[in-house]
Amino acid sequence: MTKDTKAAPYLFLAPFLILFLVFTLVPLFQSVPLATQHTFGPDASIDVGMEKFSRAFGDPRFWTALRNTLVFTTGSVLIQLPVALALALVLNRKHVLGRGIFRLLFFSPQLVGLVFVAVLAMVMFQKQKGLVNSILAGGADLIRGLPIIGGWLPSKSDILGIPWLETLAMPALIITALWMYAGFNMIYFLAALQNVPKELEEAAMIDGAGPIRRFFAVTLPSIKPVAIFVVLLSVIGSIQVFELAYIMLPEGMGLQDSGLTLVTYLFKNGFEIGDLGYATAIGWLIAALLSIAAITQRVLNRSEVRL
Amino acid sequence: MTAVELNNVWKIYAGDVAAVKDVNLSIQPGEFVVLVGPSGCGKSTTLRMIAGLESISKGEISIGNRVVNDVAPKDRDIAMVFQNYALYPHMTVEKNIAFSLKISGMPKDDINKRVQNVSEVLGLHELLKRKPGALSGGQRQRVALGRAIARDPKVFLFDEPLSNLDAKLRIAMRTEMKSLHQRLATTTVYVTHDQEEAMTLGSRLVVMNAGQIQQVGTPIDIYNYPNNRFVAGFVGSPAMNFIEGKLRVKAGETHFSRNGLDIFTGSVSYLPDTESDAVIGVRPQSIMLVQKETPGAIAATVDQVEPLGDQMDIKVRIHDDTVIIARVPLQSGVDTGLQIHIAFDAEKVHFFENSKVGARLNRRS
Repeated sequence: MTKDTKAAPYLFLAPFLILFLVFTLVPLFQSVPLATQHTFGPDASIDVGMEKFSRAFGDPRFWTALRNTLVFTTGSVLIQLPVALALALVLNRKHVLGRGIFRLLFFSPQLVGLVFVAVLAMVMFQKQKGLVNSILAGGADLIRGLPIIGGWLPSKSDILGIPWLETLAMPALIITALWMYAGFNMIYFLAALQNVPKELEEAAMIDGAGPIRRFFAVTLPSIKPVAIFVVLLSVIGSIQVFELAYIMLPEGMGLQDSGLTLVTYLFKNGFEIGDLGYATAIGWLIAALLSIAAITQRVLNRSEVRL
Repeated sequence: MTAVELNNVWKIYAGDVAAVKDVNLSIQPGEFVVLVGPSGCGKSTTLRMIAGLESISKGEISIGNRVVNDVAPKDRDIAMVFQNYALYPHMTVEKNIAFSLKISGMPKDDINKRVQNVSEVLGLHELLKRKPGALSGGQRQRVALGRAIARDPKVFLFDEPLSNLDAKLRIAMRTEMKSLHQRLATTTVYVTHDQEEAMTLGSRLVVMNAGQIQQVGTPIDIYNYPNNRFVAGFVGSPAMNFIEGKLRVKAGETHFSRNGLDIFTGSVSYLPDTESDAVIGVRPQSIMLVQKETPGAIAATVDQVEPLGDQMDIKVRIHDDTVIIARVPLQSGVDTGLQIHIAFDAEKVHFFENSKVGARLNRRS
């Protein structure tokens, strides 16, 4: 091997390594002392030890942000992933007409990008003229004549005035994330399902297992490694939720912090208030949360099966 | 009563592609029937139709005198062993074997007894708590067999179950499967593309090609009296030699010549008088090394020698460069480049029509 060919792999890696070093590794190391400092603008700071961390634990807005983030994460995982899996199961069937078109439709939010989807969602969740409230009001009108339910339904003006973006920020964010990411996760599930040997399903059919039993006894365990991976990706992505909330919600967090997430709180502290130390401490707490998620995935994957 | 019966069964896929064409087959209880043929001949499709994993386009399939065309696989009283074993990877061997029994609602004690019995028969005791990923190919194969046996079905269906094993293990498992069948005497339909496996295992063979049955018979019958050129070429190793030429049969005397050279002269039983284009078929094992003066001797040049232990396969060329493979004793001293003389055993030559089907001309007694 010549000197040139030995250097080749490093040259190919260099663009990534340089960017990673400058924009990730150096800031990461710098953030360690920063989390223990109180800053006065970019040049002046005083050392405050672990005060920023202890402040977070005593800060009700931090707890609100944490609670909202966990609600969003739980909602995303518990609603989005079953929907993604269900879509994948339907599209994995041999005789689905227009399989390719459906696949593209479900995946299309990924193609247009997060900002576009967030702006669209913001319009859809508007009070009075938003599509969501209009559909709900229209639906309510259809069943208003029915006994019991009809009397229980709120008025049309109440439904049109549902303040999704203002005070019901978390459900609005969860629904938008479902629209944005269900198709993306569906692709992972679809790829995993297509790798499940057909014979396993057939053997279970001969063994007398019905469709539901086949799903839980054969299909689901076979795609377990991918399912765990998708859950992890989803959890990590959800804990880091920022852009959706920032674009969709008034002030980026709704009224009375109804949509305040951890990263939004980090951003507000660091770049609007200018308390970089506190923002960094929140950043490290988010990193701790992400690490717990990653370790859980590793533990769960230890029992991975070989097909 | 027949165990399995196929009447005019067709499988036609989209685009009018017929994978199985008008198959008729009757399998008796306790028989070990092997469907054999090259890849794409329709043997696996036929088996899968019996299992209920493929729908039947036309015709009727019965299992135990009950038409099962519209019966779900689980209700056909069959068990199937797949080529890649299809063991549930997240279940232990014990759970794999017990899975169908559990679904059928069998009491736990009975399931345990059944699993114990099966593991005794197949020597799986040590493996019961392991998962398939921790087993060798042979062990997985045995577990797949165990899972099938545990169901105690009317019919076993095997889809190339040995093809993922190495040659040595394949032969060992072949013997094991044969003795297992002798012990259990359950009707078995077995699919393979390996004619040697088919010959050693089957009590009857069904040779298939291009979706159609070419011949049904005992292994010896098919070997000695192939119906047509395809069966003759497919069954037997090394494959039968075929030489096209002119056949003349008159008053019990048979002459076969090619490009002016007498290839065969002799008396062949059950060959009607004729004078036509034909194909002579002779197995490498039916070719003898002879002296130049022997009547019917053909001069040949040895091109290649493949020693096989006590025998060797030799590739020879006759006058018009027609290549013939012969199996001769190792001690014969034949070597590459030598000029030799060969002759065909008159009792073991086959004549076929020189047509697409290549039907057999010399009828059997």
